[in-house]
Amino acid sequence: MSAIRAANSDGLLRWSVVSAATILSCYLWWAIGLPDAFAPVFVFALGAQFVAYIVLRPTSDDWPVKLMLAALLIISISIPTAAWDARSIWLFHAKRIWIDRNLYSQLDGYTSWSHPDYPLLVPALTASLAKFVGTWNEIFPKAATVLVSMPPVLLLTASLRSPTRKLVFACIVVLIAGRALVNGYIDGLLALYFAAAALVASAVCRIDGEESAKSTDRHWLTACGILLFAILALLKNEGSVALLTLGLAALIAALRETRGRDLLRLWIMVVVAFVPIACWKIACIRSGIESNLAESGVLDRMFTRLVRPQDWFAIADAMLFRASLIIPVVLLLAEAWFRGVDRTLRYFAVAAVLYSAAIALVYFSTPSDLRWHLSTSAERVMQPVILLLLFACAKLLNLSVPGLDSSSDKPVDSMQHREE
Amino acid sequence: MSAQRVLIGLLAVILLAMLFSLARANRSSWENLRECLTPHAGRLHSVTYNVNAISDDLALLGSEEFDLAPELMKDPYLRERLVELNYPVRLKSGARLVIAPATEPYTSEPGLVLRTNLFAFYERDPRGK
Repeated sequence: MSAIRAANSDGLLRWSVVSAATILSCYLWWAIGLPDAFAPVFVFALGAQFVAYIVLRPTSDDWPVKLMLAALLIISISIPTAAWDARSIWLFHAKRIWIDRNLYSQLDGYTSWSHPDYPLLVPALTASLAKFVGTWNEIFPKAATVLVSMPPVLLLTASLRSPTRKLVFACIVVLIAGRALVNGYIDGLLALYFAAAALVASAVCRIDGEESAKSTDRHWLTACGILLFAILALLKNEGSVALLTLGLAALIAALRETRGRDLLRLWIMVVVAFVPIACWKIACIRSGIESNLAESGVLDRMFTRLVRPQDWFAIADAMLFRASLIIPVVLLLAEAWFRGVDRTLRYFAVAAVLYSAAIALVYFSTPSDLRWHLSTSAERVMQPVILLLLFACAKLLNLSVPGLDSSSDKPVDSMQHREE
Repeated sequence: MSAQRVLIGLLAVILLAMLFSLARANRSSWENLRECLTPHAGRLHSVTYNVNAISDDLALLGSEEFDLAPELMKDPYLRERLVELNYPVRLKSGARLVIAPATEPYTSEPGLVLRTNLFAFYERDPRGK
């Protein structure tokens, strides 16, 4: 809660809530079927918030994030959309919405290879951006991805209280999710929203042990949580899985320290956040559209692979044996060994493990060739786990130079509730 | 200058280097930046990479013909590729595809069988719908 309170005192929590509400409103506008001529209003509002944050907001120490967001936007509109998923799935869906002026146009069964069951929050905003500009091409529409990244980036940044940590966090975002944020993929957004949602969920459940909280803080926190959770679920199919893992991780944490009332509050927020994605899935089912992963024989494929050690090794090799994952795990284990287990960190770790397990189950049951599926997606789908753990490292980081500005780099107090 | 500021400066340089590297790795260019808002002239796709997706897009837009810039018909690889893909295709009315030579490599994807300097541009036929 203290990290969230810091965000609120900065005004960035409210900033995140407003921008997230704008993004979700844009999707709901399309989903309800209201006149598409008004859709550009949401893009204008979001763009104005983006520019206002970077240009107008008086800044003290969040210049690294402003620099990062501005640079990502410029890079995004200076590259063509080349990657397959970006162009043939996400931008293709957006183009269909833009041309047909209808969110549900892709449910006609045309181009089934483009995964028409995928959620459409980002394509809806992309189509709105195209309507705002008045045309379509294969360059600028994907910049919507950078705009959608604003709420989680602001929230995560505000929870890091020193310029050093914010700089490190900006480097982490560019390193892990930078490419996916500029080339039209959704995985970078999923990683950012997963980390931000984990932060909010831990605050809602008061996993950090914070006792007191002003009611205004909690109201803004609740609003922020519902909005971030709903957007997380609407980004990709994995977003729903990520949201469930955050709820389950809180349930596991409840066995030790979380109060039941807080846990109930979190799960009510999760259920409310699931309403938009549930409506989309119902529309898909009614149109006969289903995920390619749901092809018949899921259990057969899973059990066949579960008994083959080479498949276990292939999945573990693709998902876990990568430096960007091993380094934060080693750092966090060392932190836990020398300074005791931090409760928020433990919550993050449980969520990361649950999410990784869910992704592994998808690989075990995939109807595609396992090696091909792993080689084309493992790096991207692990981004949420890696970013969450690296974010935890950034929070624990103490880069202060003794005697010089040490006060600003003390460990964040939300991470000081430890069990020896 | 304090050591703390040196540390922050060092991290800032690292951040800038990473952003610059990101731009270079994705073939960011001023040319794209200039044309990013150009109506109906977006870079559509590499012909060699996903020519079927181009036809899908045009089917959505609606087109009757598939035009090639004359100079590109001299390209032996492209001609061979189009024959292989059974082009020219028949599409619905309303748009035409113009494939024009580009000034720089299209993609940095390492796994492509053939890297091409071709970009596909599309535009609505003013005579169409």
